[in-house]
Amino acid sequence: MWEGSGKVAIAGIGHSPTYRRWDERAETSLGAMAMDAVQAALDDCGLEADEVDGVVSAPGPLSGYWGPRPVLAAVKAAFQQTPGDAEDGISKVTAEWLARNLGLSALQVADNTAGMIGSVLNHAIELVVSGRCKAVVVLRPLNNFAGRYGHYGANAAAEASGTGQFTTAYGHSGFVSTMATFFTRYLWTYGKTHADLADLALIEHANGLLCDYGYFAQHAPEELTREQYLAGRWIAEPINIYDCDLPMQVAGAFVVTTAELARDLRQHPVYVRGIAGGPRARGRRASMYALEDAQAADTALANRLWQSAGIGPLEVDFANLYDAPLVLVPHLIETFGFCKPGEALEFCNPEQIGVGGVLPINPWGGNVGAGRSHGIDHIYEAVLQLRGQAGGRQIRGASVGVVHVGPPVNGAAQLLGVDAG
Amino acid sequence: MERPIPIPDDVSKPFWEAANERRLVAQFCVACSEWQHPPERACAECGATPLEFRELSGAGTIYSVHVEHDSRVVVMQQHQPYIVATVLANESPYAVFLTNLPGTSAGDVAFGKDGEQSVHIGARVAVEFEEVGAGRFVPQFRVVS
Repeated sequence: MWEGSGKVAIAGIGHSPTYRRWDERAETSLGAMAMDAVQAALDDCGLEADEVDGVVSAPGPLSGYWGPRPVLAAVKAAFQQTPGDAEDGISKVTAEWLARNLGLSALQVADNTAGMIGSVLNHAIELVVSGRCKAVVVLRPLNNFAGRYGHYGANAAAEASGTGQFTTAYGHSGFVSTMATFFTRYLWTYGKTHADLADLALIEHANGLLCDYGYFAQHAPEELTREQYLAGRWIAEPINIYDCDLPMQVAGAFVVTTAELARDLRQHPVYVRGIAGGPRARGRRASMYALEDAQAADTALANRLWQSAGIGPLEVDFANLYDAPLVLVPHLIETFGFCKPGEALEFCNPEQIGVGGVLPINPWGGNVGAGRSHGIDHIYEAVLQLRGQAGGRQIRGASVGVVHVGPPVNGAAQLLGVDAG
Repeated sequence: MERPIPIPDDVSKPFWEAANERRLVAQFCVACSEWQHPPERACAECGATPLEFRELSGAGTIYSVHVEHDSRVVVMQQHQPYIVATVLANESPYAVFLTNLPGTSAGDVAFGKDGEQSVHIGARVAVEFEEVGAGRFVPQFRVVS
């Protein structure tokens, strides 16, 4: 068992509205959205800004995904700037920017990390377990500017350098390409076809329409039919557009505190029972994400999670599994031990994984059903479910949930519970 | 086929020099007795340096494959839909190459076990070299029956 099990809690959560693109107003800038999300998380649990002693941000951006653009003077003037960094508050939001603009006066730690929200949350949890901090704000801001995602920088060059010599030169297009090749291998290994993914896709898209904080419920509440799904245009075959998550502008924040402090705050604490992190790709062909390598690595990650919590897959009430793109979900269902290798696509039926099913998966729709939050919503929804605040998506009797955010091999996971254990 | 032209660096230079002579080479770690490609500064497994570039037979099999319909690689968009296959050299599963499988088209690809197409996982391939500029070649692989 992990020494921190049950000693730390997620006490507060905050979520910005969602937008497809930034409209270049100061009040919808990434900095403003980050401040809104953090303030909402503080209000949610009843902490004051001067009681926060740590901030950990995954500041973004995914550099190079958008072309250069001018920083508008009106936006700059609306906030206190980080010296020497004109992008801060616009394409990214650092811990320093947040501390300045939100008046966080009692900080002992202000960290920025390159990780996704899952590993950033684990870092915040460790800060509390170690005693360095009592109340840490975790921030993930995610931008989406005009123009096509990723059609810039090295991808738009006439030459291919660095790792691109062996990837871009052949037209390999990035993570979705990697996952397409990964999924072909999966389909071949287990004798499946892309159409076998339809049930999972329809469940996620339908769940997303029940999610009041997600993009589709807010802006495009249209049902996806099986016919539409099966006719969806290919992005990187065998991944179609409905298997992908729509980029959006959003920010999410969490307040992580000692269990003791959380019990004195406004909401019922959601206890961190276990954590596990991926080892980061290393070794031969690490960047290839070969199916067999990823199966070994993610089975090991899941086992570390179960061992850290002293809880096994049969005791879990729901699972929020990273789904960008959707083809990751069957891989994670299998490696987390919810079914045998090769059986996840049959497992993904409404009776099994729907909101009223035996093991609900991604009850708010995941990133595919609710928009690209890069995992913010995997955690946000887990907290809502464990507090009994998920409205029409509420899983009856939800007391233990598992969260995984990230790509194969390099993800991070938490086991969260209503009880401290 | 117009494509982004690879720019060699100090690690990959021997690989591209060999390709320009129409030879396929890859790094070999003498300490591990194992190959690795793409090239790196040190053996990704044991950290040993330097690594020798040795010649491969050029024969391999398709590990997996996908088809790009909406690529982010701007120069390649004119070729859509195009195949990107992952090939493992016969000598080692750690000598990993990408290829566009010249001589095939997107409709030839079998995804899963759903077809009789020529491009499928496990299909045998052999190296050839595509001229991308005066005297400059990139390795490609062709399906062999």
